[in-house]
Amino acid sequence: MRSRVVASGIVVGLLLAGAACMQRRPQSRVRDMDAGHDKARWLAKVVRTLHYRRDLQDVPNYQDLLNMSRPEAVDALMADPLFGDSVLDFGLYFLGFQQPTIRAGNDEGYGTDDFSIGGFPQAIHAAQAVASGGDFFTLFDRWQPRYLGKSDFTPNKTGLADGISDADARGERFKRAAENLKQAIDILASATSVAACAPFQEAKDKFSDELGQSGLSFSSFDFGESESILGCIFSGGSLNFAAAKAKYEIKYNWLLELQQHREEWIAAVRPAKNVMEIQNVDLFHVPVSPEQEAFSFKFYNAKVNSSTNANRRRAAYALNTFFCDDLTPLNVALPAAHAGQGAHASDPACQACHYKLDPMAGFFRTRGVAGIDFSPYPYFIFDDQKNINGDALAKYMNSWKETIPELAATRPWRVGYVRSPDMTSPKNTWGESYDDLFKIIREAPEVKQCLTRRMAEYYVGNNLVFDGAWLRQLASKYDNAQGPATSAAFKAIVKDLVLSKTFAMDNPSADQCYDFPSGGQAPTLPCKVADIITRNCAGCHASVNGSGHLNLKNWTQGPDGVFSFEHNGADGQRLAKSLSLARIMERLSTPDQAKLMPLNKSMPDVERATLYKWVNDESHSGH
Amino acid sequence: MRRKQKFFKALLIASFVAAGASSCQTSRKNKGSTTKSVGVPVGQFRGYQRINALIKSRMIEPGEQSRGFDLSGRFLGSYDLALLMGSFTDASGKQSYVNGDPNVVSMTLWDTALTGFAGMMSGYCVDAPSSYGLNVRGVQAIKSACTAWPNGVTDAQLHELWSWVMSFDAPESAESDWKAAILDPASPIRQLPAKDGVAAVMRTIFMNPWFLLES
Repeated sequence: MRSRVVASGIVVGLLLAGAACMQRRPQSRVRDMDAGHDKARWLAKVVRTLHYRRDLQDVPNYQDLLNMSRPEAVDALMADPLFGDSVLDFGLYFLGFQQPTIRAGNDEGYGTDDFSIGGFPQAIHAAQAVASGGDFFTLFDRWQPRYLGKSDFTPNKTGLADGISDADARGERFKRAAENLKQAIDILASATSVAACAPFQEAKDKFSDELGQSGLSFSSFDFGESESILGCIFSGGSLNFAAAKAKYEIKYNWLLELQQHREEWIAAVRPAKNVMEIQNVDLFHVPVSPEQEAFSFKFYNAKVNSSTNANRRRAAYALNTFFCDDLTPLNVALPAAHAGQGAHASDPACQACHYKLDPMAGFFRTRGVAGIDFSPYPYFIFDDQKNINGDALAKYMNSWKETIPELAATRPWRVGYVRSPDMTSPKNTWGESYDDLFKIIREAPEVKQCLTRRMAEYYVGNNLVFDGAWLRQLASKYDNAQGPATSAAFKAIVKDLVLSKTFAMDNPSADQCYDFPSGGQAPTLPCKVADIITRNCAGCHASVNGSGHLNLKNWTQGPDGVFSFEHNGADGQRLAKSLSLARIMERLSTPDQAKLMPLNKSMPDVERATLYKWVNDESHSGH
Repeated sequence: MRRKQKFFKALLIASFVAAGASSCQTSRKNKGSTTKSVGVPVGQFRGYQRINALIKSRMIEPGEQSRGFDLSGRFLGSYDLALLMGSFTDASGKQSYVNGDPNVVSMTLWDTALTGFAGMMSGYCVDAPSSYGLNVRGVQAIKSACTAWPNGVTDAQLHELWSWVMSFDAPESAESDWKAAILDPASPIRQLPAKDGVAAVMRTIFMNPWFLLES
């Protein structure tokens, strides 16, 4: 008993010492990375980062890595197929759907089912592209390979009594599944009204139950059929029964083939050891398209289209994910002219976001509950189960019609990626379909910038601030890159990131930049906004004797000991920080175009929002 | 009466742990210096899944025992408590990392789980528990320390225990500080019998911020 108390006391003491140690850690410093233990620590961090949480000691040849220079070690780790794991995880991070792990249970391959990473085939595809020197920008493609789910086939899950071999049990299950599917097809053959829907669904459910018991999951087999079933239920029997029957007959014939070749095909299923070994459903010769859409069930399930948000949630996701635009509401976008009528056009506070949110939402306008494309149907069902048709459907769709007559002549829809609230501005990129959206994502320079920022967050550290000029220099590696050059650019940027000073630090300060463009110097301005101010503001506001008596080239200590911009009042005296920043904030967010800064020039929304938020934070920092 | 005494002692210990945890949190001024890397923030816990995976990778013999190893289920009696120890969650269909900041509850849970783990480890001092699967390196390191405990324990033996758990997560100075505390002749830890002493030693490695927190 006594020893336990003593032990607890000792541990408490050491815990407190540990806590104190945690307090000491923020004393950051760049270490000499080439010295023994410190180099091993750096390398361990690189291995964790580039090989997705892998421990340095699990790398068989890690002593060889230690003997290499740092760039050589990074190259060697990126040449390893396990680098694909971090690319895959980064893809999920970029898409906003990072998972607790990319692996399936018990470390047997990857969690490629639709409900885990399989719900984001573009992340798998892009990781395979980097590993094989292909096109990394497949991350932005609409059509993706259809991967074999981890639980699409579990060979030992036959569900029959002991004493029957797995192969025989599977054969029996397949036979019963085929009988039920044949029954469902017979119902379709004689169907004339919605009354056929319920018995059809019942027979189909039995078929999928039997198939599931065989170890082959329904998800591999039922691609694209949910629309037909929902259509049958909700449309009052408007389903084209003949077309559905034809589709199911194709599946039935495939099922007969599967019975015949099942053991041969099943034997080819392997748990993947790296991303290149993740298998495609082609392995089972499934008679459906080998492709699927990038926006999957999991995406639609998370980003629902309700009758009240009318796809704005999906639009906000697209703007934030691909363009790093978090829709910070600044009232600068008052559409004085050429804006037409939008859902909130009369309210400047709403229009601050909606002028770009609504056109983005238009890309999703035909996608209803669970992402189903309702364009072929005379009705529309939202995720909140509200069903509209007739005038209500027309009103819903017409909310994306172009309202300015001269523009409507060339493009019927106000759908696109909007950079300027002036709808006539050539800066905006218009489209109307998913194909157009993915084309914009592939080509827009903002997406490359956003991708690079997310890479820095993922590979170096989230919540850190990075010099904008440094990020732009990194992103420039993507300029004009196509095909294999995109994966080469991705690797080059990752290499620069893990060789950066910031990466090498134990606990970098969140408001300090450590890396700058080659040949560049640390800015004299706070680095979070230095690049934005330099490019957009400091050209005019270069001296207290110039425009606005404001010098935005330096952030200096005033007579009161507080750091701020040199900003003089009418009396020639330096303004207090709070007053100076309040004036700057007002000029950054006024809807009055005669006062809005930068005067008569455009400034990307994302940069304006970043600058505004920083000024706002500084004005409340109290020092 | 004895139960009451035990309760108050436990409460006292929990209070100290909590105090330690709260001082581990980043100050308001340094709040921003908690930084995410590979999905898990610096200054926050590495996360339950990752610590569990690290222990499996570094300390447990590969195989069935490694696959089924789960700190929370095994030492806290509930898999659900892992959510409070820094964990990914799927709220609203979007994955996010929650409960990463050390607090009274999470530190107590970590301490309870890892104390249990350290206690089981030190079972190797007397007889290798059959239901337990430490890898060969760990078993050798623990037995070696137990045999020499307390006065014969060497710097090299402690280094082996430290590097077995910590790998390259901590700077050398952290290891030196830790060893000095253990090897100090005046340290009360040396009054403990071998089994309790080695358990306490292991517990202090586990609860070290370089092991528990993202760096």
